[in-house]
Amino acid sequence: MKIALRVNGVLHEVDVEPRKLLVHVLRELGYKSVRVGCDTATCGACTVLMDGRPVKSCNVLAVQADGAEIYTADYSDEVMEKLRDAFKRHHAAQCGFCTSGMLTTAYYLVRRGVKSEEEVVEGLSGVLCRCTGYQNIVNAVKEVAGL
Amino acid sequence: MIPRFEYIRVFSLPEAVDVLSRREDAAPLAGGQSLIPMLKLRVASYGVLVDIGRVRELRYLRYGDVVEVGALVRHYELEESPCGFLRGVAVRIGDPQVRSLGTVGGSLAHADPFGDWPAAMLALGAVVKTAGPDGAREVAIDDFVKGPYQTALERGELVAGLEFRCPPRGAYVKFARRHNDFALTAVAVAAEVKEGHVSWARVAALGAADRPVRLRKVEALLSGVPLTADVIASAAEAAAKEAQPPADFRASAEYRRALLSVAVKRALGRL
Ligand SMILES: Cc1cc2nc3c(=O)[nH]c(=O)nc-3n(C[C@H](O)[C@H](O)[C@H](O)COP(=O)(O)OP(=O)(O)OC[C@H]3O[C@@H](n4cnc5c(N)ncnc54)[C@H](O)[C@@H]3O)c2cc1C
Ligand code: FES
Ligand code: FES
Repeated sequence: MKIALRVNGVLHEVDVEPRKLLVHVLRELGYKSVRVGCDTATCGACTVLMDGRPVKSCNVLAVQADGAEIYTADYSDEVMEKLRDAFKRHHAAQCGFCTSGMLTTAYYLVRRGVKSEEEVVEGLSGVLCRCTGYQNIVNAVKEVAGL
Repeated sequence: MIPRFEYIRVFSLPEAVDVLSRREDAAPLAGGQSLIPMLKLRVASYGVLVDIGRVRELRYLRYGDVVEVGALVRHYELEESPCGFLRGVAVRIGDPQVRSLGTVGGSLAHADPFGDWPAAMLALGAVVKTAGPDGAREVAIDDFVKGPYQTALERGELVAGLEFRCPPRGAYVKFARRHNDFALTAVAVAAEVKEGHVSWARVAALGAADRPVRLRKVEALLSGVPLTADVIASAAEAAAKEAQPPADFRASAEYRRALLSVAVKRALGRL
Protein backbone atom coordinates (compact mmCIF):
# COMPACT_ATOMS: atom_id res chain seq x y z
CA MET A 1 0.00 0.00 0.00
CA LYS A 2 1.26 3.49 -0.88
CA ILE A 3 1.62 5.82 2.07
CA ALA A 4 2.96 9.33 2.57
CA LEU A 5 4.99 10.38 5.59
CA ARG A 6 6.51 13.76 6.27
CA VAL A 7 9.61 13.07 8.35
CA ASN A 8 11.42 16.05 9.87
CA GLY A 9 9.87 18.15 7.12
CA VAL A 10 10.81 15.87 4.22
CA LEU A 11 8.01 14.17 2.31
CA HIS A 12 8.43 10.46 1.60
CA GLU A 13 6.09 8.33 -0.46
CA VAL A 14 6.66 4.66 0.14
CA ASP A 15 5.04 1.38 -0.73
CA VAL A 16 4.65 -0.71 2.41
CA GLU A 17 3.18 -4.02 3.40
CA PRO A 18 0.35 -3.46 5.92
CA ARG A 19 2.12 -5.62 8.51
CA LYS A 20 5.17 -3.39 8.50
CA LEU A 21 5.78 -1.35 11.63
CA LEU A 22 6.45 2.37 11.47
CA VAL A 23 9.83 1.92 13.19
CA HIS A 24 11.11 -0.31 10.39
CA VAL A 25 9.91 1.99 7.64
CA LEU A 26 11.62 4.96 9.30
CA ARG A 27 14.89 3.07 9.72
CA GLU A 28 14.82 1.90 6.11
CA LEU A 29 14.29 5.50 5.03
CA GLY A 30 17.57 6.24 6.80
CA TYR A 31 16.30 7.59 10.11
CA LYS A 32 18.59 5.35 12.15
CA SER A 33 18.20 7.41 15.31
CA VAL A 34 14.86 5.62 15.71
CA ARG A 35 15.89 2.55 17.67
CA VAL A 36 14.41 -0.86 18.23
CA GLY A 37 15.08 -1.67 21.84
CA CYS A 38 12.44 -4.25 22.72
CA ASP A 39 9.89 -4.44 19.91
CA THR A 40 7.22 -4.95 22.60
CA ALA A 41 6.10 -1.36 23.30
CA THR A 42 7.93 -1.42 26.60
CA CYS A 43 11.23 0.50 26.34
CA GLY A 44 10.33 3.63 24.40
CA ALA A 45 13.64 3.77 22.46
CA CYS A 46 11.58 3.90 19.24
CA THR A 47 9.57 6.96 20.34
CA VAL A 48 8.87 9.50 17.60
CA LEU A 49 6.40 12.34 17.47
CA MET A 50 3.41 11.65 15.25
CA ASP A 51 1.35 14.75 14.59
CA GLY A 52 2.83 16.30 17.71
CA ARG A 53 2.26 13.41 20.12
CA PRO A 54 4.84 10.85 21.25
CA VAL A 55 4.19 7.29 20.05
CA LYS A 56 6.17 4.09 20.22
CA SER A 57 6.86 3.52 16.54
CA CYS A 58 7.27 -0.24 17.11
CA ASN A 59 3.62 -0.31 18.16
CA VAL A 60 2.15 1.51 15.15
CA LEU A 61 1.60 0.05 11.70
CA ALA A 62 3.15 2.26 9.04
CA VAL A 63 -0.23 2.30 7.25
CA GLN A 64 -1.81 3.81 10.37
CA ALA A 65 0.65 6.70 10.11
CA ASP A 66 -0.26 7.46 6.49
CA GLY A 67 -0.37 11.23 6.04
CA ALA A 68 1.27 11.94 9.39
CA GLU A 69 3.93 14.48 10.28
CA ILE A 70 6.77 12.63 12.04
CA TYR A 71 9.61 14.11 14.08
CA THR A 72 12.59 11.97 15.07
CA ALA A 73 15.52 12.88 17.32
CA ASP A 74 17.25 14.26 14.20
CA TYR A 75 14.65 17.00 13.93
CA SER A 76 16.23 20.40 14.31
CA ASP A 77 14.84 23.57 15.72
CA GLU A 78 15.64 25.80 18.66
CA VAL A 79 14.04 23.59 21.30
CA MET A 80 15.64 20.40 20.00
CA GLU A 81 19.06 22.09 19.79
CA LYS A 82 18.72 23.30 23.37
CA LEU A 83 17.75 19.81 24.50
CA ARG A 84 20.74 18.20 22.77
CA ASP A 85 23.04 20.76 24.33
CA ALA A 86 21.51 20.31 27.79
CA PHE A 87 21.75 16.51 27.48
CA LYS A 88 25.49 16.89 26.76
CA ARG A 89 26.17 19.26 29.62
CA HIS A 90 24.15 17.26 32.15
CA HIS A 91 25.73 13.95 31.09
CA ALA A 92 22.24 12.70 30.27
CA ALA A 93 23.55 10.00 27.94
CA GLN A 94 25.65 7.07 29.05
CA CYS A 95 25.49 4.25 26.48
CA GLY A 96 23.10 6.46 24.52
CA PHE A 97 20.63 3.79 23.49
CA CYS A 98 17.60 5.41 25.08
CA THR A 99 18.68 8.92 24.09
CA SER A 100 16.60 9.28 20.91
CA GLY A 101 13.45 8.22 22.75
CA MET A 102 14.32 10.54 25.63
CA LEU A 103 14.94 13.48 23.26
CA THR A 104 11.74 13.10 21.27
CA THR A 105 9.68 12.66 24.43
CA ALA A 106 11.44 15.57 26.10
CA TYR A 107 10.76 17.73 23.02
CA TYR A 108 7.06 16.99 23.36
CA LEU A 109 7.14 17.81 27.08
CA VAL A 110 8.94 21.13 26.59
CA ARG A 111 6.65 22.16 23.72
CA ARG A 112 3.63 21.25 25.83
CA GLY A 113 4.95 23.37 28.66
CA VAL A 114 5.64 20.95 31.52
CA LYS A 115 5.19 22.70 34.82
CA SER A 116 6.97 20.59 37.41
CA GLU A 117 9.62 17.97 38.00
CA GLU A 118 6.81 15.52 38.72
CA GLU A 119 5.36 16.13 35.26
CA VAL A 120 8.77 15.65 33.67
CA VAL A 121 9.22 12.34 35.47
CA GLU A 122 5.72 11.14 34.55
CA GLY A 123 6.22 12.36 30.99
CA LEU A 124 9.43 10.37 30.57
CA SER A 125 8.06 7.25 32.22
CA GLY A 126 7.51 5.52 28.88
CA VAL A 127 11.21 5.53 28.05
CA LEU A 128 13.45 3.18 29.98
CA CYS A 129 17.15 3.86 30.53
CA ARG A 130 19.07 0.65 31.20
CA CYS A 131 22.01 2.77 32.34
CA THR A 132 19.57 4.28 34.84
CA GLY A 133 20.87 7.82 34.46
CA TYR A 134 17.40 9.20 35.00
CA GLN A 135 18.22 12.12 37.27
CA ASN A 136 20.60 13.69 34.76
CA ILE A 137 18.02 13.32 32.00
CA VAL A 138 15.34 14.89 34.20
CA ASN A 139 17.73 17.73 35.08
CA ALA A 140 18.46 18.42 31.40
CA VAL A 141 14.77 18.53 30.51
CA LYS A 142 13.99 20.73 33.50
CA GLU A 143 16.63 23.23 32.44
CA VAL A 144 15.22 23.58 28.92
CA ALA A 145 11.68 23.73 30.28
CA GLY A 146 12.80 26.58 32.56
CA LEU A 147 12.06 24.73 35.79
CA MET B 1 7.38 -9.94 11.60
CA ILE B 2 3.66 -10.04 12.11
CA PRO B 3 2.07 -12.68 9.84
CA ARG B 4 0.44 -11.20 6.72
CA PHE B 5 -3.06 -9.79 6.85
CA GLU B 6 -5.24 -7.74 4.58
CA TYR B 7 -5.67 -4.11 5.59
CA ILE B 8 -8.88 -2.24 4.88
CA ARG B 9 -9.24 1.38 5.86
CA VAL B 10 -12.79 2.54 6.35
CA PHE B 11 -14.13 6.06 6.64
CA SER B 12 -17.67 5.63 7.93
CA LEU B 13 -19.50 3.56 10.50
CA PRO B 14 -21.77 1.74 8.01
CA GLU B 15 -18.72 0.83 5.94
CA ALA B 16 -16.95 -0.52 9.04
CA VAL B 17 -19.94 -2.59 10.11
CA ASP B 18 -20.41 -3.87 6.58
CA VAL B 19 -16.84 -5.15 6.19
CA LEU B 20 -16.74 -6.55 9.72
CA SER B 21 -19.96 -8.49 9.34
CA ARG B 22 -19.10 -9.83 5.88
CA ARG B 23 -15.60 -11.05 6.71
CA GLU B 24 -15.46 -13.71 9.35
CA ASP B 25 -11.75 -13.35 9.99
CA ALA B 26 -11.87 -9.56 10.39
CA ALA B 27 -11.18 -7.43 13.46
CA PRO B 28 -11.34 -3.68 13.97
CA LEU B 29 -8.10 -1.80 14.53
CA ALA B 30 -8.44 1.33 16.66
CA GLY B 31 -5.28 2.60 18.40
CA GLY B 32 -3.57 -0.75 18.06
CA GLN B 33 -2.03 -0.48 21.52
CA SER B 34 -3.38 -3.88 22.54
CA LEU B 35 -3.99 -5.42 19.14
CA ILE B 36 -0.49 -4.92 17.70
CA PRO B 37 1.24 -6.52 20.72
CA MET B 38 -1.21 -9.45 20.47
CA LEU B 39 -0.48 -9.89 16.76
CA LYS B 40 3.25 -9.83 17.48
CA LEU B 41 2.88 -12.46 20.20
CA ARG B 42 0.63 -14.58 17.94
CA VAL B 43 -2.02 -14.65 20.65
CA ALA B 44 -4.36 -13.17 18.06
CA SER B 45 -4.34 -13.40 14.30
CA TYR B 46 -6.81 -12.11 11.74
CA GLY B 47 -7.14 -12.33 7.98
CA VAL B 48 -8.33 -8.74 7.78
CA LEU B 49 -7.73 -5.70 9.93
CA VAL B 50 -10.34 -3.01 9.48
CA ASP B 51 -8.76 0.30 10.42
CA ILE B 52 -11.54 2.34 12.02
CA GLY B 53 -9.10 5.05 13.16
CA ARG B 54 -10.42 7.58 10.64
CA VAL B 55 -14.16 7.06 11.17
CA ARG B 56 -15.50 10.53 12.02
CA GLU B 57 -18.74 9.30 13.63
CA LEU B 58 -16.72 7.60 16.38
CA ARG B 59 -14.69 10.67 17.27
CA TYR B 60 -16.77 12.93 19.49
CA LEU B 61 -16.53 14.15 23.06
CA ARG B 62 -19.39 16.14 24.57
CA TYR B 63 -19.82 17.42 28.10
CA GLY B 64 -23.45 18.16 28.90
CA ASP B 65 -25.71 16.80 31.64
CA VAL B 66 -24.55 13.54 30.16
CA VAL B 67 -20.96 12.98 29.09
CA GLU B 68 -20.73 11.40 25.65
CA VAL B 69 -17.44 9.77 24.75
CA GLY B 70 -16.97 8.43 21.22
CA ALA B 71 -15.18 5.10 20.86
CA LEU B 72 -12.17 6.74 19.20
CA VAL B 73 -11.52 9.25 21.97
CA ARG B 74 -7.93 8.65 22.93
CA HIS B 75 -6.83 8.28 26.53
CA TYR B 76 -4.84 11.53 26.44
CA GLU B 77 -7.91 13.53 25.43
CA LEU B 78 -9.34 12.84 28.87
CA GLU B 79 -6.21 13.82 30.79
CA GLU B 80 -7.49 17.39 30.99
CA SER B 81 -11.18 16.61 31.06
CA PRO B 82 -13.51 18.97 32.96
CA CYS B 83 -14.78 15.81 34.68
CA GLY B 84 -12.25 15.21 37.45
CA PHE B 85 -13.00 11.51 37.75
CA LEU B 86 -12.01 10.94 34.10
CA ARG B 87 -8.77 12.87 34.55
CA GLY B 88 -7.85 10.69 37.50
CA VAL B 89 -8.27 7.53 35.42
CA ALA B 90 -6.68 8.75 32.18
CA VAL B 91 -3.39 9.85 33.73
CA ARG B 92 -2.88 6.42 35.27
CA ILE B 93 -3.06 4.52 31.96
CA GLY B 94 0.28 3.32 30.64
CA ASP B 95 2.55 6.18 29.61
CA PRO B 96 2.13 9.23 27.35
CA GLN B 97 3.02 7.19 24.26
CA VAL B 98 0.28 4.64 24.91
CA ARG B 99 -2.20 7.38 25.77
CA SER B 100 -1.47 9.14 22.46
CA LEU B 101 -3.02 6.28 20.51
CA GLY B 102 -5.04 4.00 22.80
CA THR B 103 -8.78 4.59 22.67
CA VAL B 104 -11.57 4.31 25.23
CA GLY B 105 -13.67 2.18 22.86
CA GLY B 106 -10.75 -0.17 22.17
CA SER B 107 -10.14 -0.52 25.88
CA LEU B 108 -13.79 -1.48 26.52
CA ALA B 109 -13.98 -3.88 23.57
CA HIS B 110 -10.69 -5.51 24.52
CA ALA B 111 -11.93 -6.03 28.11
CA ASP B 112 -8.49 -6.74 29.51
CA PRO B 113 -9.20 -7.82 33.10
CA PHE B 114 -6.56 -5.28 34.16
CA GLY B 115 -7.69 -2.49 31.84
CA ASP B 116 -8.58 0.76 33.60
CA TRP B 117 -11.58 2.00 31.61
CA PRO B 118 -13.84 -1.05 32.09
CA ALA B 119 -13.60 -0.71 35.90
CA ALA B 120 -13.98 3.07 35.74
CA MET B 121 -17.06 2.74 33.52
CA LEU B 122 -18.56 0.22 35.95
CA ALA B 123 -18.29 2.78 38.73
CA LEU B 124 -19.86 5.39 36.46
CA GLY B 125 -22.74 3.10 35.51
CA ALA B 126 -22.06 3.92 31.87
CA VAL B 127 -24.17 2.87 28.94
CA VAL B 128 -22.21 1.30 26.09
CA LYS B 129 -23.56 2.27 22.68
CA THR B 130 -22.90 -0.28 19.98
CA ALA B 131 -23.37 -0.34 16.22
CA GLY B 132 -23.74 -3.54 14.29
CA PRO B 133 -25.36 -5.28 11.33
CA ASP B 134 -28.68 -5.32 13.22
CA GLY B 135 -28.52 -1.66 14.12
CA ALA B 136 -27.62 0.22 17.26
CA ARG B 137 -27.94 -1.11 20.82
CA GLU B 138 -27.45 0.31 24.29
CA VAL B 139 -25.93 -2.08 26.78
CA ALA B 140 -25.58 -1.31 30.48
CA ILE B 141 -21.94 -1.59 31.51
CA ASP B 142 -22.90 -4.17 34.17
CA ASP B 143 -24.00 -6.46 31.32
CA PHE B 144 -21.20 -5.56 28.92
CA VAL B 145 -18.09 -7.19 30.36
CA LYS B 146 -18.77 -10.92 30.39
CA GLY B 147 -15.38 -12.19 31.49
CA PRO B 148 -11.68 -11.76 30.83
CA TYR B 149 -11.43 -10.41 27.26
CA GLN B 150 -15.12 -11.19 26.77
CA THR B 151 -17.89 -8.72 26.09
CA ALA B 152 -21.52 -8.61 25.02
CA LEU B 153 -20.44 -7.51 21.52
CA GLU B 154 -21.80 -9.71 18.76
CA ARG B 155 -20.11 -10.53 15.49
CA GLY B 156 -19.62 -7.47 13.34
CA GLU B 157 -20.58 -5.20 16.22
CA LEU B 158 -18.53 -2.22 17.32
CA VAL B 159 -18.39 -0.10 20.43
CA ALA B 160 -19.58 3.25 19.13
CA GLY B 161 -19.37 5.23 22.36
CA LEU B 162 -20.19 5.57 26.03
CA GLU B 163 -22.59 7.72 28.00
CA PHE B 164 -22.67 8.51 31.69
CA ARG B 165 -23.00 11.35 34.15
CA CYS B 166 -19.88 12.85 35.62
CA PRO B 167 -20.24 11.91 39.30
CA PRO B 168 -20.44 14.73 41.87
CA ARG B 169 -17.57 13.00 43.63
CA GLY B 170 -15.20 10.37 42.36
CA ALA B 171 -11.80 8.84 42.88
CA TYR B 172 -9.56 6.36 41.15
CA VAL B 173 -6.76 4.65 43.03
CA LYS B 174 -4.48 2.28 41.16
CA PHE B 175 -1.54 0.24 42.35
CA ALA B 176 0.98 -1.02 39.79
CA ARG B 177 4.49 -2.44 40.01
CA ARG B 178 5.86 0.27 37.77
CA HIS B 179 4.45 3.63 36.88
CA ASN B 180 3.38 2.65 33.35
CA ASP B 181 2.28 -0.89 34.05
CA PHE B 182 -1.13 -2.48 34.22
CA ALA B 183 -2.73 -2.46 37.65
CA LEU B 184 -2.17 -5.01 40.37
CA THR B 185 -5.44 -3.72 41.69
CA ALA B 186 -7.43 -0.52 41.33
CA VAL B 187 -10.56 0.91 42.87
CA ALA B 188 -12.98 3.32 41.20
CA VAL B 189 -15.59 5.16 43.25
CA ALA B 190 -18.38 7.40 42.01
CA ALA B 191 -20.61 8.90 44.66
CA GLU B 192 -22.82 11.68 45.85
CA VAL B 193 -22.47 13.05 49.35
CA LYS B 194 -25.26 15.26 50.70
CA GLU B 195 -25.10 16.98 54.07
CA GLY B 196 -22.23 14.76 55.08
CA HIS B 197 -24.07 11.56 54.19
CA VAL B 198 -23.39 9.32 51.22
CA SER B 199 -26.61 9.28 49.19
CA TRP B 200 -25.27 6.74 46.72
CA ALA B 201 -21.96 5.17 45.84
CA ARG B 202 -20.87 2.85 43.05
CA VAL B 203 -17.61 1.11 43.79
CA ALA B 204 -15.79 -1.00 41.21
CA ALA B 205 -12.47 -2.77 41.36
CA LEU B 206 -10.08 -4.58 39.12
CA GLY B 207 -7.74 -7.23 40.40
CA ALA B 208 -10.53 -8.25 42.80
CA ALA B 209 -11.81 -11.05 40.54
CA ASP B 210 -11.09 -12.46 37.07
CA ARG B 211 -12.79 -9.39 35.60
CA PRO B 212 -13.72 -5.89 36.79
CA VAL B 213 -16.46 -6.15 39.40
CA ARG B 214 -18.61 -3.95 41.56
CA LEU B 215 -18.00 -4.26 45.27
CA ARG B 216 -21.65 -4.51 46.23
CA LYS B 217 -21.10 -5.07 49.95
CA VAL B 218 -18.98 -1.95 50.12
CA GLU B 219 -21.64 0.01 48.24
CA ALA B 220 -24.34 -1.21 50.63
CA LEU B 221 -22.25 -0.36 53.64
CA LEU B 222 -21.72 3.22 52.46
CA SER B 223 -25.28 4.01 51.54
CA GLY B 224 -26.88 6.69 53.74
CA VAL B 225 -24.07 7.00 56.26
CA PRO B 226 -21.48 9.71 56.88
CA LEU B 227 -17.97 8.98 55.64
CA THR B 228 -16.30 8.62 59.01
CA ALA B 229 -12.99 6.90 59.62
CA ASP B 230 -14.87 3.94 61.09
CA VAL B 231 -17.08 3.58 58.01
CA ILE B 232 -14.06 3.77 55.72
CA ALA B 233 -12.22 1.16 57.79
CA SER B 234 -15.12 -1.27 57.65
CA ALA B 235 -15.55 -0.65 53.91
CA ALA B 236 -11.88 -1.54 53.39
CA GLU B 237 -12.35 -4.69 55.43
CA ALA B 238 -15.52 -5.65 53.55
CA ALA B 239 -13.73 -5.21 50.20
CA ALA B 240 -10.98 -7.61 51.20
CA LYS B 241 -13.57 -10.16 52.38
CA GLU B 242 -15.72 -9.83 49.28
CA ALA B 243 -12.84 -10.12 46.79
CA GLN B 244 -11.58 -13.25 45.06
CA PRO B 245 -8.38 -11.84 43.60
CA PRO B 246 -6.49 -13.72 40.91
CA ALA B 247 -2.86 -14.77 41.35
CA ASP B 248 -0.44 -14.34 38.46
CA PHE B 249 3.14 -13.35 37.66
CA ARG B 250 2.48 -9.82 38.95
CA ALA B 251 1.13 -10.63 42.41
CA SER B 252 -0.30 -13.30 44.68
CA ALA B 253 -3.97 -13.31 45.61
CA GLU B 254 -3.14 -12.38 49.23
CA TYR B 255 -1.08 -9.39 48.17
CA ARG B 256 -3.86 -8.17 45.88
CA ARG B 257 -6.38 -8.59 48.69
CA ALA B 258 -4.25 -6.46 51.01
CA LEU B 259 -3.75 -3.80 48.32
CA LEU B 260 -7.44 -3.74 47.54
CA SER B 261 -8.21 -2.85 51.12
CA VAL B 262 -5.74 0.04 51.01
CA ALA B 263 -7.08 1.20 47.64
CA VAL B 264 -10.66 1.32 49.01
CA LYS B 265 -9.47 3.26 52.04
CA ARG B 266 -7.58 5.80 49.94
CA ALA B 267 -10.32 6.18 47.34
CA LEU B 268 -12.97 6.86 49.98
CA GLY B 269 -10.60 9.22 51.76
CA ARG B 270 -10.35 11.30 48.60
CA LEU B 271 -14.08 11.74 48.03
C1 LIG C 1 3.08 -0.40 27.19
C2 LIG C 1 1.59 -0.43 27.34
C3 LIG C 1 1.03 -0.14 28.59
C4 LIG C 1 -0.34 -0.15 28.76
N1 LIG C 1 -0.83 0.14 29.98
C5 LIG C 1 -2.16 0.16 30.18
C6 LIG C 1 -2.71 0.47 31.44
O1 LIG C 1 -2.00 0.77 32.40
N2 LIG C 1 -4.06 0.45 31.58
C7 LIG C 1 -4.89 0.14 30.54
O2 LIG C 1 -6.11 0.15 30.70
N3 LIG C 1 -4.40 -0.15 29.32
C8 LIG C 1 -3.06 -0.16 29.12
N4 LIG C 1 -2.58 -0.47 27.87
C9 LIG C 1 -3.53 -0.82 26.79
C10 LIG C 1 -4.09 0.41 26.11
O3 LIG C 1 -4.88 1.16 26.99
C11 LIG C 1 -4.90 0.12 24.85
O4 LIG C 1 -4.94 1.32 24.18
C12 LIG C 1 -6.32 -0.33 25.00
O5 LIG C 1 -6.39 -1.47 25.79
C13 LIG C 1 -6.94 -0.70 23.65
O6 LIG C 1 -7.27 0.42 22.89
P1 LIG C 1 -6.81 0.55 21.39
O7 LIG C 1 -7.56 1.68 20.81
O8 LIG C 1 -5.35 0.62 21.32
O9 LIG C 1 -7.39 -0.80 20.75
P2 LIG C 1 -6.76 -1.82 19.70
O10 LIG C 1 -5.47 -2.32 20.20
O11 LIG C 1 -6.80 -1.24 18.34
O12 LIG C 1 -7.86 -2.97 19.79
C14 LIG C 1 -7.99 -3.79 20.94
C15 LIG C 1 -9.10 -4.84 20.70
O13 LIG C 1 -10.37 -4.22 20.67
C16 LIG C 1 -10.97 -4.33 19.37
N5 LIG C 1 -11.56 -3.01 19.11
C17 LIG C 1 -10.93 -1.81 19.09
N6 LIG C 1 -11.83 -0.81 18.96
C18 LIG C 1 -13.05 -1.38 18.90
C19 LIG C 1 -14.38 -0.86 18.80
N7 LIG C 1 -14.63 0.46 18.74
N8 LIG C 1 -15.40 -1.76 18.77
C20 LIG C 1 -15.17 -3.10 18.85
N9 LIG C 1 -13.95 -3.63 18.96
C21 LIG C 1 -12.89 -2.78 18.98
C22 LIG C 1 -9.87 -4.77 18.44
O14 LIG C 1 -10.34 -5.56 17.38
C23 LIG C 1 -8.97 -5.57 19.38
O15 LIG C 1 -9.44 -6.87 19.53
C24 LIG C 1 -1.20 -0.46 27.66
C25 LIG C 1 -0.64 -0.74 26.40
C26 LIG C 1 0.73 -0.73 26.24
C27 LIG C 1 1.29 -1.03 24.90
S1 FES D 1 11.31 -0.72 20.63
FE1 FES D 1 9.43 0.28 20.73
S2 FES D 1 9.07 0.43 22.83
FE2 FES D 1 10.92 -0.73 22.76
S1 FES E 1 21.92 5.91 28.42
FE1 FES E 1 22.11 3.76 28.25
S2 FES E 1 20.03 3.20 28.14
FE2 FES E 1 19.87 5.23 28.70
